[in-house]
Amino acid sequence: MTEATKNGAAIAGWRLPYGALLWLLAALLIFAVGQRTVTLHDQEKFIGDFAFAVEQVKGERRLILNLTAGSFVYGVTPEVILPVPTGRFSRGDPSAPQVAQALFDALNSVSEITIAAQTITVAYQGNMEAEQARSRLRRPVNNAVANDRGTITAQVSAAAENTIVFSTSDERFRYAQYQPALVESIEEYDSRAAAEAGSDLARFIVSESRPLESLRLEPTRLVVGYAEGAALEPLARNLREILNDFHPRASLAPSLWLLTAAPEIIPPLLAIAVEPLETGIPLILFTLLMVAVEAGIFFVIPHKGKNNLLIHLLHIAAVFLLFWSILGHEPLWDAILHAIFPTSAQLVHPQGTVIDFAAQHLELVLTSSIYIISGGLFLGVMVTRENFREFLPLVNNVVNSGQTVPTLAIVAIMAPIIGLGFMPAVVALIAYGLLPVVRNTIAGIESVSVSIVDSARGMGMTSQQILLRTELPIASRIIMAGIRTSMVINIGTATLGAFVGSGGLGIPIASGLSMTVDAFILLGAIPAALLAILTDYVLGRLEVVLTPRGLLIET
Amino acid sequence: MIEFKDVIKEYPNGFRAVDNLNLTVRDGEICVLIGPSGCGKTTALRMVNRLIDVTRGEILINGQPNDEFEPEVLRRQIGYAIQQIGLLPHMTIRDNVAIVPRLLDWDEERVRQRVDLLLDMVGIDPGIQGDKYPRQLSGGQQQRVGVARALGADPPIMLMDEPFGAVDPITRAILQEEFLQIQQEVGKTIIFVTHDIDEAIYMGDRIALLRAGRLVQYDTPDDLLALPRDDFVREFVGTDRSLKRLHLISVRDSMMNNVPCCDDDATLQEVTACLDRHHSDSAFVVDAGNGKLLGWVERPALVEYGSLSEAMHHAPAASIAVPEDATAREALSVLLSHSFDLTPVIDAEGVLTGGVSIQRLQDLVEEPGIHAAMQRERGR
Ligand SMILES: Nc1ncnc2c1ncn2[C@@H]1O[C@H](COP(=O)(O)OP(=O)(O)OP(=O)(O)O)[C@@H](O)[C@H]1O
Ligand SMILES: [Mg+2]
Repeated sequence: MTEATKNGAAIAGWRLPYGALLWLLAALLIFAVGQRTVTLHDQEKFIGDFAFAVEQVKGERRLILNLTAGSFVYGVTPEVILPVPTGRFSRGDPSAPQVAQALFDALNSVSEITIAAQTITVAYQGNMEAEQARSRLRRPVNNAVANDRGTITAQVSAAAENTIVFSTSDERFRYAQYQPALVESIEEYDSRAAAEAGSDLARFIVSESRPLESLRLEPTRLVVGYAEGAALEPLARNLREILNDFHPRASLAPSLWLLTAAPEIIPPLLAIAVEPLETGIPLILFTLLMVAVEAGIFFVIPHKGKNNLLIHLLHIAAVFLLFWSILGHEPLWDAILHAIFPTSAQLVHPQGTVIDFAAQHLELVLTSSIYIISGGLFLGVMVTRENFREFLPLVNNVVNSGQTVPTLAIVAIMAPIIGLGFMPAVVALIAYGLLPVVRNTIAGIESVSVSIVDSARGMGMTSQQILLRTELPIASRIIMAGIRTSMVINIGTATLGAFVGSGGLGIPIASGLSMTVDAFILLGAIPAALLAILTDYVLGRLEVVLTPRGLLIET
Repeated sequence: MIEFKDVIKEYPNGFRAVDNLNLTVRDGEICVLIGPSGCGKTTALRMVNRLIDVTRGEILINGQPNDEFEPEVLRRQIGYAIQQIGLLPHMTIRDNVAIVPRLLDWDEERVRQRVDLLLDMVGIDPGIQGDKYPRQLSGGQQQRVGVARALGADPPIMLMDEPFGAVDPITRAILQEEFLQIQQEVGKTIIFVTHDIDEAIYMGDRIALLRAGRLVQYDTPDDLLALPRDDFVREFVGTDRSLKRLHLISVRDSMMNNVPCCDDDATLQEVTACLDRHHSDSAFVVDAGNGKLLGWVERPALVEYGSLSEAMHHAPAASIAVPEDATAREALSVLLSHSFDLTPVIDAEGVLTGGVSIQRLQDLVEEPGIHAAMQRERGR
């Protein structure tokens, strides 16, 4: 025996703490990427086109710019909800509110619009079918007001001819308006030098504007002190250009995001309400903690660790949090999408952030999965019982043929039957996702050999004991595989929910398609794909955890 | 005691699988149900613990009709072992054996002790194999666990449906022997289904031969072999039934104690005298000190060499002799293969204790009465 072979054996005997090494790798990556700062490019998010009212302070070399439009405040949807102004408006009236403008634009024959607190009355001319006019006008109203679609009804007026009346069950019609905002909190610089050492925005403004001597940034005001002899008109114009040119910069270091559920919503509909929560804890701390935990598991309980349920669950939770945190880090999405689509004006969806969509998506998937899993198990168990066996071929056939109906068809069929919104989408998802679970539950229970059930019965187990202690444990692996298939498919299918207004990652995809903004499509598709991979991983781990050990032995 | 009284089983399709069965299994006895495939053995067996319902008639257990019990309660008092074993693959060996005791809510300490005891009894080391899973055991080991499980809560009655049917013949023989030893200790009342007549003869205190759902003959193995009731039985037990009967008799019961034999230090005269006394041309040679069999000597060789030490054939005892506890059938086999008139019989130490001759064996199978008596003597 040579030294070399001895060493070889020793090395073969080593086991590496792979878990800790992987988390270390993740920590290093997050550290490397997090060091970088990127320019945020999304135009929607930072409403360009700053407008302000200029106010000169007499006797002082100071200019006050009161913001009337435009925003830099990142991550907060910069809008306020205001009541729609009431009154009677005719075509061409400049004071007509946005909703009236939209109605005039939608139909040339609209002549006069009367807005009251709860009604919008639209009068049109010509001999158009009332029904047609109603359907043509409904969308602009829905789009222009901030009230929930479900609260708005459109009716052909019975009192007057050629009149459509929109009414809301809310207190009044409202519309959303961007709240102009420059910064989140006041920044004050009394010299050029101070401003040059200040925030990104302050630095940018002084570097672009020569006459500037002092600077105060307020959420809705910009106060500048200027050098003697500066011309005010060009200065104001210049400042607006500067603001429009500025792109905020952000760090790529993500922080830890959690997932919270709002339990109060659960009783009525068994719907899971998912809330993403930013903790403000740097993600890198979390990954380093996981390195320590993994190393601890490896060196302290090396053997038990392999099959310990808690440790499996810890892994699942940790991987989920890492993924969830990355979803939540918007500058990253902005950077990725800007790299892919450098010329795209829109990178972040106006209706929400990635993590909002992902949370809605999870809500949809989890809610439908609860019904799918409980219902699928119930059906599968039922038809394998002695008394209901006669239904087995029927259920089997329905289940198998149901799989062949395209998903979109189910969604399309469901929409007219039960309408639009969250629950209809859930119902459509259930209809489609039930199939793999039922099929695998049946297959799993059928896979339990007759002799095993016979001996269980012969020993005096009751049918319930046979089910719970024999059939389900032995079938668990196949059943879990069905649940896994169902949920992964469900994540893909849930994107179609956007077409029935259920929210979720389908929203950016759908609007990306209709508005031809490719970035939006990816904004929905990438997280959806990641979510599917993650779910597959999580359920794969759970499958191992939940399968009784005796069944994992190969024969 | 298990009694079948006019039991009829008709399956829903009208097929009569068991037809007017009357059968009494005495306490502590193994009753073997045997017959051609499809004759209703399994059906009869499963009616006892109500896995199958009786169509007409009744089955009494210790005098009480079995349908007076809840099926589950009844089954927990009756051990049940099947050919496919049916161990639950997701449970460890221990947990499998503990199923019935746990169903009966025994406390865990008692369950543990019982499981250890049973596993030991069937030759499975609870320490080494107990925490393994069924799939990690060989077929033979699984069968043992199956038997241990059926014995789980110490039921007075056991139903066994071809429990050793799925293993190779050698393992089966070992399992059969071990099971009989266990039965000697536990003395259960057992209904044992098989379609192997040799197994039936070896295991059974009584054999019930069924044909198309009807009981054809119910007798002790020896009587079944000696006095087959009709041609069906005769054919079923086989034309080698005489050989099978030999299988039932031990060498100890069939041997002659007085056989020609001389010490290895005997003189020529002594040996010749011994041969003459027995009217034999050959004699066994044993160690003068401890009586162990060393070989044999023949008259012509004695004449030729003139001394015992030169004339005798040395042979290891194991190759020419049969042990006392072997069956008469094995003795016959040795007789045939060595063309001896008389095969020596030795005890566990190798000491010559007697001999068996072809003539003797022939006498035995010709006289059923003798064996019935012997059978009774053996206390089976
Ligand atoms: N559920 C059933 N319905 C109808 N006929 C049945 C049913 N179960 C068994 N039989 C028939 O009853 C007869 C007896 O069956 P059983 O299983 O008792 O035979 P067996 O003697 O155990 O045979 P084997 O030695 O092959 O195990 C067979 O002919 C079988 O076809
Ligand atoms: Mg059978």
